[in-house]
This record gives sequence, C-alpha cells and structure tokens, in this order.
Amino acid sequence: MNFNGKRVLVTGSTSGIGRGAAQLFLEGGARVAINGRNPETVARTIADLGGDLVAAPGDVGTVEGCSQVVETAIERLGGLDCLVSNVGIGPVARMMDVTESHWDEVVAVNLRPALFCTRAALGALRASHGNIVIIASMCGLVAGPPDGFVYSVTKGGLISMTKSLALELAPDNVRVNCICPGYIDTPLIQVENELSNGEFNRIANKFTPLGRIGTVRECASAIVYFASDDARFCTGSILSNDGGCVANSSWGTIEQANLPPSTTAAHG
Amino acid sequence: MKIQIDYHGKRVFVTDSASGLGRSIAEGFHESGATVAINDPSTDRVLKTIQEMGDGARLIAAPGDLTQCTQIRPTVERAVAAMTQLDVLVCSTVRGDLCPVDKVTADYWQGVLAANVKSAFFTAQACAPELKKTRGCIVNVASVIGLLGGPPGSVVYSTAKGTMIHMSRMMALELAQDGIRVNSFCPGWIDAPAPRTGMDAFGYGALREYIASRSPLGRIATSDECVAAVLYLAASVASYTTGATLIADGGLTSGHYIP
Repeated sequence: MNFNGKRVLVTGSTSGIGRGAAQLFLEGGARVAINGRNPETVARTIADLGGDLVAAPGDVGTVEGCSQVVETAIERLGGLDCLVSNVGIGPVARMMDVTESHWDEVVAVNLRPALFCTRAALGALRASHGNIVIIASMCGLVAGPPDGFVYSVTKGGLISMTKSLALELAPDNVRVNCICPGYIDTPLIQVENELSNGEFNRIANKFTPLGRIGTVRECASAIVYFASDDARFCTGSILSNDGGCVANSSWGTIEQANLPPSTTAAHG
Repeated sequence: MKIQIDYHGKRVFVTDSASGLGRSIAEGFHESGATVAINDPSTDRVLKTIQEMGDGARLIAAPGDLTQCTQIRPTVERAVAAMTQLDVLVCSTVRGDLCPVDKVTADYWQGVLAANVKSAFFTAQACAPELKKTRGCIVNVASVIGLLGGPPGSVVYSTAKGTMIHMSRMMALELAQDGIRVNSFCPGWIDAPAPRTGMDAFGYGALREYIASRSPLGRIATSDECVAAVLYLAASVASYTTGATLIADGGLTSGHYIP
C-alpha cells in the first residue's frame, strides 16, 4: 500500500497492535508519530523501528492529554492524514466487582480518547480529507470474557461512536472506520499465555474457527487497509479481524457439539 | 390498545420515573398490577407523581440522583426495603441532545455518559443481589441511535446508548447464572418533554419531524408502544429472552431508501 508522504498518528504505538500498525505505515512510505505515555519508551521505539518517525508522547487517558498528543503530532508531521485511535487497557474485574474508579478509568482510556483525539485532529483531518481508524475489539460485537466486563462494554461503545462520527464527518470527506481484532499475538496476550502455561493460547486456538490466534501484522494490515486509498469508499464500516470468533459467538467448538460425522448422500 | 400482562405481586423499580418515558413505563407497570418505586432526583417531583398516579398502596417513593454513584445504593436499599423484594429494574433515563464534535467538552461527555449508561450500570449492580432472590430481570432503555450512526451532533449520545446496549449483553451473560434476564429496548424517538439540557443544532421539534418522516411507518412511536415493549421484556412470558435488543422504531434501522 502506498502511503508516500502521508502523515499518521497511532496512539499507543510503542507495543502490540499500535506498534505493528506504525511499522506497516512506515513500510508504505508514511511519516508516523509514535505515542506512548513514557517519552523514553517512545524514543526507544523510534530508534528500534527506524525511518521517518516523530515522537508524540503523552497520556490520552486525560482530555488534555488527547489535545497535547494530537497537537504535538500535527506540529511535528506538518499536518495529519490519518489518526489511528488504538490505546486500550483491559484491567480485570467481574461485573459485581466493578468500582466507580475502575469504570471511570477504563472509560477514560478505552472510549473517551477516540472522541477527544478526533476532536483535536479535526482541523488537520478536514484540511487533508484524511481518515480515522478506531481499534475496538471482537469483545465490542459479542460479549467478551466476564472478568473484562468494562473492557467489553467500552469496546461496544466504540462501534457506535465509529458510525456516528462517520456520519458527522462525511460532509468533510473524512472517513471513520473501525477494526475489531480477535486474539492477536501481542505482548499482552503473550504474558497471559505464559502465566497460564500455554493454556490461554490453547483455548483461544480451540474456540477460534480458524484454529489459531492472529499475528500483529495481520491485524495491522486491516488497519492500514482502512487508512489507504483502497478503502476510500468505506466509512462507518466495522471490520472483524478475528478468525471467525464473532461469527461463532457462543457456538463453541465442533468437539463440544459432539455431533456425529456427517453422512453425505452418494449422489452421482 | 394496551398490552395486557399481569404484574400483580411484582415489585418494579423504574429510574427517572417522575417524567417522560420513565413515568409512562411506571404507569404501565402500575396499571398492570405491579408495586412501583418512583424515582427522580427531586423528592417533590416523586411525591407529586405518586399523587397524580392515584396515591395508592402500590406506589413507593424512591427519590435519589442516580447520576451520583454515592446515592445509588442508598436509594435502591430504601426502595427495596419499602417493597420487601425486587422483581424488575427498568433503567429508563433518556437524556440526549445534540452537540457537534467540535464543541464537545469533557464535562458534556461526562454528563451524557453518567446519565445514560454509568448510572444504569451501578444501579443494576446494586439491584442484582435482590433480583437474584426473585430470579428477576432488568430492562435498559437505550435507543436505535446506539445501533446506527445518528444525525450530526449525536456522537456522544450515540456512543452512550451503544455502550448501554452492549453493556446489557455483558450483564445478561454474567447474571444468567443467577437467573436474571437483561435486555435492552431501542426506540427510534420518544415523545418526551424536551431534554433537560436543551437542544443545540436542530430544534427539538424539527428533529422529531425529521425522524418521523424518515421512519418507514411515517411517524413517531406512541407512548403505549414504547411501554408495551418494556412490559413484554420484563414479563415472565419473555423467559427465554436475554441479552437481546428489542427495536421499536417504525422501520428506521431496517434501512429505507427514499429517492
């Protein structure tokens, strides 16, 4: 994909999906602003990735942080063609254990930045007729694990936000789309897997129709697709990148269903 | 034409029930035989509503501002104590207005989310132990604007309602083991008094007329039609319906091509 001269901000791009997206944009010739809360981690990421990168460190979990990060990126890139709103956290709490501060924190980091980074980027995106890619999750379309209650709730909100933002910004020819990743091989997931002695991946593999978890690059490909010119007729679009998990919903696995082997009638 | 379901012996808590859709829903349950707790931030409004509804024994005052988390548990506890049990929680707050993305502030965001989804969550959380005892249910009043995009200016409200719809699914799964059903109801437009925060870009009337004209059925829902949907979802005949979204929008979400 050709991103020559395109200016992209990816929030939360020092690791995982965000970093993978930044890398792919870079390979496409884009100039990318790397964001994370820690300026040193941002600098290290830039050094590791190499290429035409600028730093836009800051915490988009605060409203001021959203403005500051976006303004820094726009200033250093000289404008903006694409905003990838990717920051997200998945702290653990079941529904009955959710406290007000947990709710507020997860909403502030997972849901609010998509709107307030967009707000800060509006001028630049209108000028460039750019686009926004919001990273939600398959847990925004179907229910996620019970101990990620607020995580799933906020991911659901991002999907509605995508559609409404798309309508509001359509007159400006600014597209807004959403990716819903499934289980992706990020450091977050790798830690989960290690802590469970490989059980996490075994279960994810089993319950994913395609039988495996996705790579960061596969997930990033969907992000850059929406950002690219190839997707210029897509807005308000929700793309699942999950090996079939959302389609599968609660169906579980074939073994669980314990169905008899199908008999195909021997027609000629 | 009203739905007829027998709610005698059932105890129902309807949030924000001194006015608007919440009031209509409370009246619907009351007319169906339920004992209903009336809620509003203002005690005066609660008492006035109870008076206007006939002041009978099956009406309980449950004032409290449920957008303030600190008031939720005390309000719920008082209501349940007065009713002795809880069978149905209806989160009916529909507080929406328009604000373009350019003008959204942190306070506006906070206010819309607090009123429309955060208060519903913590109220449900507070009610869950009581609902477990009766294998009761929860109905969250959302909006089709949470399923589709909305007109310009509706981003925050649409986000809040979409969050509420998905939250209902999550709650349905978590509370299924306790026998509690959770569903959401998505109307297209509710004929309620103009939202308290006032309208910005469109006039309230102009938007209402626009939505009526875009609905394939060519009009806005009547209050009875909205109430019927909620009465159905909360009824024991809906015993296999959970995690669902019931839409009553005159066909708006099914897509409508107007040349």
